[in-house]
Amino acid sequence: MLIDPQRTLTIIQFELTRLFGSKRGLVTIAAFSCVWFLIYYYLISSAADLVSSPTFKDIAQQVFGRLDLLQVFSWGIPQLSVYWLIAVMLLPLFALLFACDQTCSDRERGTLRFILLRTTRSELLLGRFIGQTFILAILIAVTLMVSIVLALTNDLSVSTEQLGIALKVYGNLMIVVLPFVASMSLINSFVKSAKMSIVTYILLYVLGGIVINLIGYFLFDISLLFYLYPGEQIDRIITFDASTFDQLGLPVLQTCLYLFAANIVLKRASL
Amino acid sequence: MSILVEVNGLSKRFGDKQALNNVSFQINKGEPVALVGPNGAGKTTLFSILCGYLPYDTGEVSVFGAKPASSQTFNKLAALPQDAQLDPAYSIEEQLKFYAQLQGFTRKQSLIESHRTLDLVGLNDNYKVKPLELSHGMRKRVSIAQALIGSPELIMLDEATAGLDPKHAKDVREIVSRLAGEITFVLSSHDLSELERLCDQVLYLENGVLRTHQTSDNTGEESYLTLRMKTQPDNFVEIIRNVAGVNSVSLIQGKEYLVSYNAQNQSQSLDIEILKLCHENNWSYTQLFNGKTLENQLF
Repeated sequence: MLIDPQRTLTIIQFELTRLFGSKRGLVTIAAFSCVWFLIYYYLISSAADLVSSPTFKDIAQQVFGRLDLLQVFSWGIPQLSVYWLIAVMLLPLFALLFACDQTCSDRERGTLRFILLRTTRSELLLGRFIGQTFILAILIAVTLMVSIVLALTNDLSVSTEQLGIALKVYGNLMIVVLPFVASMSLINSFVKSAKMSIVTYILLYVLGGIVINLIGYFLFDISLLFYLYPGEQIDRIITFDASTFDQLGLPVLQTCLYLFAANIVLKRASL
Repeated sequence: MSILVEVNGLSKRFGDKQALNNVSFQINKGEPVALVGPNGAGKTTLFSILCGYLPYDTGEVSVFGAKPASSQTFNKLAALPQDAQLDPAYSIEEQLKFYAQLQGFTRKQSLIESHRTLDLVGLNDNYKVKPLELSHGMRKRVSIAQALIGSPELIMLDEATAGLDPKHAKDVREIVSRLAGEITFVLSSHDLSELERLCDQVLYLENGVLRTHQTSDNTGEESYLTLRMKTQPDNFVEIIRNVAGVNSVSLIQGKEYLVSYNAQNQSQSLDIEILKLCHENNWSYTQLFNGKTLENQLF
């Protein structure tokens, strides 16, 4: 599988214009901004109060199933702590929504037939995956910076060490969203529309989870299959003290596996 | 003569339907090639396989010496796939620029190239327009424009003039005719008179089988003239049949006659003699065709 960097780069650049240069993309950004505005307005701007509130800590601990979230709350920037807890749960959903139409609409419409006279299917798959990842990288960076700006406007100084934590938060969030985008690359290689890709994702993962549990209950344990689920490691990495495998290995492996499978399916697909 | 496409024993099945059955042919660099056949004959399937859109079951397919859709075919093979639509979110200029950049053009060159190809198909006032703002025929012309980006050696046009008004259909034919010296075209169409005007080589597909692989030259011992009359003169067949060298005269359809003759037994050209007879007998004709029309050759 030879990848031409120039063609892949061209696809990535065009993918970026899909969000930042088209009307539909700008509407999506507007919706994304509205959701984050509400989050900033109601949660992050009052993060200092929330972090010191036992009720919030209880809720957070119940949501993540962890009783050791104190480490996150001791970063010294409450806005960053609250941002991390919200973003790690919310951004995977945004990743699914943003990445739900990587190739399916183009395939259904026939536009891929024009493109694939000029590039290979593997380059297209990789270019679109990287393009979507770039889009998320930009959006995550913007939301993270707004949180830091909010901290600064609340008379908090941000030390170099805290900036390091912010960078770590950024890196972790990027790694968390990668398998979500890649799983959508795979689903896109066989469904016909963006809506169907979301529905298929829900069916695959929700029904899949039920089936794994039922087989485990009545027949034999196949819970290892849960390692195929994007975000499987989220509850373990929430406190930043998880193993390298959980923080990096598992999501990167999942991403590679999904892209590999997507490449095989897309290569065999009839257009 | 360099071989652009070589197909040996190609078969493709969709469920119970055998779309292509042991198809073999080759396309050499040169004159346009017509791909003809009734609906469902397998023309679009064959196009799709050559472009790499469809996998095939058995056989060997080589396009520019490589497998379909491999990078060796990029910049050499261009196509107008049937029913493929452009992305409605981008202007036609942006999309053609993107395609040109994928073909290796720089940002600046790609803009010039997109304008050049849009100008070729008569869309010079519509660079910034999005596909949904264009009529069906105009969208088709944009699709033809994308096939002209760069300097392809082989262009496959699937139903290129279907849905175009007569003026723009003529423009497309003129483009094909003009570029035929430097680019080899493979044209699929139901308009046989169009293919007749443009192509010498014909690939005729029926039920997935390549029935004919021929040229439309009037060669061999027996030659033909096809004469289309305005009316059906009563004694036309008898008079023409008595001309020296004429073997038979038959009414093919409507007012169209097929004259079979032996060219070697002719003292002067039969076409001149027939035109003289038309003049003497006051017969009005609409067309005199040297050979059998493509329609009569195939059906």
